[in-house]
Amino acid sequence: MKKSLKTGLCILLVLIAVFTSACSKGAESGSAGDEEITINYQSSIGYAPLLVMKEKGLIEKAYGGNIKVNWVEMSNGAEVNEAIISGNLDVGSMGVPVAITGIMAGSPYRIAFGLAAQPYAILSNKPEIKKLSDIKSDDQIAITNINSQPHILLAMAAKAELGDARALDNNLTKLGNADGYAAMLSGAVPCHMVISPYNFMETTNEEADIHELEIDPNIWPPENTALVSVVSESLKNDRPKVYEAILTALKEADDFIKTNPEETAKILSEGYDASAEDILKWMQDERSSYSPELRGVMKMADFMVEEGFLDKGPISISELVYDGVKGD
Amino acid sequence: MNKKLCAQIAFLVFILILWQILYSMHIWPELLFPSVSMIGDAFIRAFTERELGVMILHSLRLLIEGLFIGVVFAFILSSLFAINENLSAIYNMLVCMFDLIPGIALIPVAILWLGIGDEAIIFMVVHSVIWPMSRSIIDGFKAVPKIYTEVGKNMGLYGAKLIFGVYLPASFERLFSGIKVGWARAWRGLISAEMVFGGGSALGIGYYITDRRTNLDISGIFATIIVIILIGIVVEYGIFRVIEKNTVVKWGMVH
Repeated sequence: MKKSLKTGLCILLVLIAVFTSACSKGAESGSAGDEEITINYQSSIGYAPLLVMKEKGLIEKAYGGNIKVNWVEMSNGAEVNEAIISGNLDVGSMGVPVAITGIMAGSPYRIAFGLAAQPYAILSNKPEIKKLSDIKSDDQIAITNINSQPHILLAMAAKAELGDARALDNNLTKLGNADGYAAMLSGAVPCHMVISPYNFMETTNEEADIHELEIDPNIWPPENTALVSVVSESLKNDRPKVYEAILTALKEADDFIKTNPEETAKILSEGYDASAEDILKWMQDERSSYSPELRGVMKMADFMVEEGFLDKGPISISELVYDGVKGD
Repeated sequence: MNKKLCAQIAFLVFILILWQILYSMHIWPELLFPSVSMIGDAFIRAFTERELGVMILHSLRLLIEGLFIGVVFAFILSSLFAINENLSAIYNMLVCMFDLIPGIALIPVAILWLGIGDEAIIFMVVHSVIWPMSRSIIDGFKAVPKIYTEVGKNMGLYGAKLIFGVYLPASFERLFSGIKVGWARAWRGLISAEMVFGGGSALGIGYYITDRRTNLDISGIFATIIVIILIGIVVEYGIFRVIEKNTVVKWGMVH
């Protein structure tokens, strides 16, 4: 027995030694020499500023020195959160609720800038579903993820029109935007709560008969920020020059989108089953805008706390953002 | 208390201590590696503040339905050989083909054919049970000594009577281990299906894990994993061991 106890202790010590040495190595690597950062985007035309930055090399230009920027596409905010926490992502881009949840849970990042306000829609391929109350218990609604931006916006609509924010939770099913689009066209799911351009792509598709549900326009104020980018605290604090370069690049990207809408649409159209002309039209929808300033973030947080999507909400916007970020 | 149980408990305590030591060294942030007490808190909160209890019942209902359908079909189809050798050969080929397909690869098919309700989840559970279960039954039947079946035939047993009168009792031990494997596979199939589909007509354990994941609540995720393990242990020790003790062990088929 004594012998086995000793062996056990030895194994324990070896394990601890291996873990700690592996970790310290991980922390050291990447700090020396040239800069390298990793940024994600997701599938929506709301991520246009990032795609312009990527396509035009704006971060590289703003930084001046030697910097390698890695771009990855992710399909939902939970993946983005996990990638940042585990140190594999420096700049994460996602829907507002996911960023709020992440920051309030203690993730090592803050919102650095807003990306866009974009139209959302609840769509259906069943002619009898015209409003939320027509959705029956076995009609699934595809969303990108639980507790994501589409989920919370759907909950807002459910609260306003059905009296219960959680009324449609049992109907939810998780599909990335592109998969949800395919499932709607094939008829595999009857409803889809989705961000632009998929709402437009679905309603304008001639092979499928998909329509938008009537939702009171006041439920989702169109100017409210839908997507934001967060930056890890380590990047902000330890590599301020890179952080500044990202902000400069963003400003340039937003200007580019305003002055060169056709070219922006062309850059975006490569990722979708749509032409550049269509993308341009959808980007110029009155509910679509690109601005680093935040709008409606605190209102979103309040709603999440009220309906139990978030245990503890922020007291003020300063808990969620870095200094210098404007908006509410 | 017997020695084996002592060793098992000591090992679990050792793991908990190791976990807590690693936590207290703060190698990883709390968001990635919570303390034992944080997981304990999340475990309690899952039942008091959230509705994990209700979700477990829903998941178990789907599991039992899928497991039952899977076991019954596996038994009927595997018994085909007693009726016709060609049918049996075909079924054997099907088992070899389909047992290889991971459940996740069938999810698109399940969505297209069955939608995203309870049926799709049960379909995934049946898929994860029926093939390994069939393998156990077929192997079990093949291992029945020829002399037994000859005696049965001499007594005038054929077809279903031969299956129930000779093959089933003689291969009960293998069948039973097949059910154990089937149960474990069903459990895994269920959770993965629920993580994709949400929970069918109501929310299940898979939904809860996703919900905790999107809330960045790693303690909640570990607490749910512990719930899954505990249910597994209850079934293993509370049901399977009891049945085993009263059947194959009592009959002297295993020690």
